[in-house]
Amino acid sequence: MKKIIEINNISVDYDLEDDQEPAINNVSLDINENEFVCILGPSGCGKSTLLKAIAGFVKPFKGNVLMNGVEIIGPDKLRGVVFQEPNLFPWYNVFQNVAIGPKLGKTSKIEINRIVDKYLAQVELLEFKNAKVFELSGGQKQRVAIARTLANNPEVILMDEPFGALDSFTRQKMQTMIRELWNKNNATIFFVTHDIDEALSLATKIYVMRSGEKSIVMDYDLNYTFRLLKNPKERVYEEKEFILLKDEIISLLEE
Amino acid sequence: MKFKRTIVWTVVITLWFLFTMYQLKEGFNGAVVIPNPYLVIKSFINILKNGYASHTLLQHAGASFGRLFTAILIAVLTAIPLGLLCGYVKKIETVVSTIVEFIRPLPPLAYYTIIILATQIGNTSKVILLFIAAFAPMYIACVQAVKQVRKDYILSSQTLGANGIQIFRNVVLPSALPNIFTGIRTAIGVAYTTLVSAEMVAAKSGLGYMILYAYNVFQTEVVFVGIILIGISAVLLDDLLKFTEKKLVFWKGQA
Ligand SMILES: Nc1ncnc2c1ncn2[C@@H]1O[C@H](COP(=O)(O)OP(=O)(O)O)[C@@H](O)[C@H]1O
Ligand SMILES: [Mg+2]
Repeated sequence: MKKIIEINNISVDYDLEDDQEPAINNVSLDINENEFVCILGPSGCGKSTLLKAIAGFVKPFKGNVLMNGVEIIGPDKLRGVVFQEPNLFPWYNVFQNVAIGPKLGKTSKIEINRIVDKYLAQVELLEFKNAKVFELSGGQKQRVAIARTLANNPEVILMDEPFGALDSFTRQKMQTMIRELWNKNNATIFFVTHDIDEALSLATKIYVMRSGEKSIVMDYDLNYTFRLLKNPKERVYEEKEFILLKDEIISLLEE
Repeated sequence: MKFKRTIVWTVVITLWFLFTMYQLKEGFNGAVVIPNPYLVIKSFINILKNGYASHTLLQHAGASFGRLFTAILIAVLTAIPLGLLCGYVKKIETVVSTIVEFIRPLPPLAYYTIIILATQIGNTSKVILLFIAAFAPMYIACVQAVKQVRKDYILSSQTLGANGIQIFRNVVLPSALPNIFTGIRTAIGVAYTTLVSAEMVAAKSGLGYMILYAYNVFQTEVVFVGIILIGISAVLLDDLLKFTEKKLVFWKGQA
């Protein structure tokens, strides 16, 4: 397994001058190719900050983040980001939003069309190609945002609670979809969530983050996502092992 | 909206008519302070046919609008790029804003004399005066526009591979459009209010000149014709801009 991202003992503080504790403290982890990594933790524990450090939006005051061995110093197209609030550009329609990355990369018109069609089909929004983005529902917007990121073919996709604002029904469908997209595109995903079921059902690897430490306290290797890939209807949630694991994580987060 | 405006105007004109219907009271030096609508319409037709103050009405209007549009066009071409640049570069903004903030509240007539001394009494001095009036609102709107661009839009475009110029084209400029339109509309308003001042000194034509000429010979009905023409053209121009904005900035208030 190829190591794509290497996080070496980073600490991030938004304002070093104030008396506030750092937003994250001494976090280390690796993201390997084709992994589906979930960061799980309560709100305020520093999940988004960790994601921002990987994206290159914030700089750690201690430690470093390497991508393919090179230190990350700012945002670039190797790491795609899907935000919690879909931030499609309203002045562009669905097609144009998904086409941004390929267009900036000076891809030919025919190739751009092919790429956009491919990923809009994957998120099942091909018929909305010419729609204005503000006419879409929350779930549809997020699917376009995902297609936009996929179309740029990043080496790793960072997602910050992408389904957090959606109703539970849409959320479930989106989880199934993202799992399939991850598999189909051989993608590597770094996924932030505070929802234990979501993490357990999607991740190949979970890192649990705690508010007290502002750091990772435990990690788990999982295979539910592979089983759900084969049969999305399988009731893994009812298995004893699943429930026990869930309880363990809950008690870990309650400490 | 249109309907409401029609009602307001109907009421205003009716009241105007009622108040001036039995008008016998003579104003200062025998002139009627508020001429009745009939008198104003008659005067308008007369001016339309025979001209006024040795020019046709079209020449007066043409002179005024020529100055206005030249000044606004120059302001658009200078204030908007400069404002956008200053939104980016703090140091340049400090220099330009300091000067703009000083000039902006000055009454135009205060520095008009200096302009006339520098450029003589031709058309140039009038255009410069209107340009100065129009500059500040556009400049300030553009600086604000750049500062208000959503940070996550910029970050998103960076993760899609956009460089500085591409960020400007794909994110900053479209984000700034609504503010730019507001700036232009405000600027046109300010330029209009400066029009009469500009045509007060050593002008030979223009709607402002016509008004001042009529005032000097106590023909208030001509003053009214001038005021109404300026007012109507301003409202129509603003409507045109609002319409253009709605088409061009179709996403405003939608996202
Ligand atoms: N832009 C910011 N400026 C200052 N403090 C911040 C900022 N963003 C987050 N924080 C602080 O950093 C800590 C971690 O926040 P965050 O990473 O957003 O947590 P999570 O995503 O797990 O909810 C919190 O204490 C939060 O208040
Ligand atoms: Mg967060």
